[in-house]
Amino acid sequence: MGSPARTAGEKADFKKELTEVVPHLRAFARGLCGRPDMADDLVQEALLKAWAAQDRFEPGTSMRAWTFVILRNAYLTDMRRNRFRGDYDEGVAERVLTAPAGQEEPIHLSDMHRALLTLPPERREALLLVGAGGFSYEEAAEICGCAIGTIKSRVGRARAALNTMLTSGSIPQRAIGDGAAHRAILEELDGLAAGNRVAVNQ
Amino acid sequence: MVCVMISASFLSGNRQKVFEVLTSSKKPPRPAEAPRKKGREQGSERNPEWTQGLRQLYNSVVEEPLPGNFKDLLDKLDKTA
Repeated sequence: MGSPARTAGEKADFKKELTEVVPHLRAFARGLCGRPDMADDLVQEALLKAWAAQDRFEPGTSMRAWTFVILRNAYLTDMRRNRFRGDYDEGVAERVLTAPAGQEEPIHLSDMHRALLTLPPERREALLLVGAGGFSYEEAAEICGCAIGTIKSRVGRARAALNTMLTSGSIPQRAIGDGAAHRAILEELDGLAAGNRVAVNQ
Repeated sequence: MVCVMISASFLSGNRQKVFEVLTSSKKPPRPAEAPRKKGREQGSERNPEWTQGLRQLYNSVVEEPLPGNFKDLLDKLDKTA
């Protein structure tokens, strides 16, 4: 909007770049909402929104960061509509991540996934962006619409929590059926969404 | 998962186990006698072993073959534009 009309070449570039980030959007979405089918629905939703908003994309900037903001907003909206519940993906169940010496049970990738899903959403997304997606703290702060210090603190807390869960082998099941817990999660999400209105809201 | 490699790692004596390892690691299977304790203790606080698991979790999805419906969707959007 307001930007000069895009040339055919620019439009083709947009489509190409958007296509290239789809695997990353899927990975981010999978980390956020756990179940592959729901994650892919979320990616489709984000792609539609990104497409509709393509005039607002500045060529030369990071398509991955731009689309992550859109995906994140779609996720927060859907979460508040109760579409995702952080369900556990059984598809990752059996892979061994590390097999620490002196510990009877190795750490499985599924343990990590489950542990990740028990984190409060704002810490989970911060850790996903920085620890999994390889974004800098600055980029992650921009994606989440918050201060760099906030991201650093969230990542730090997320890491500490995962470390405790994974090294002690005590990964709590998320109390999804628990009304109070669910309300608390929704309140957190409201807070998150309120802090981030920079992005494309379709 | 397309790229799952199974590497058998035989630890000494009775601790014989088979580990599945994600292939994203290009590293060869661990030597059976590798003193894994060392790495774990050294990096425990700053860089615990599981941190690479986050990457693996992410990369394993990035490396999945892309379901065709995504390309279809983009092609459809492109045509209707």
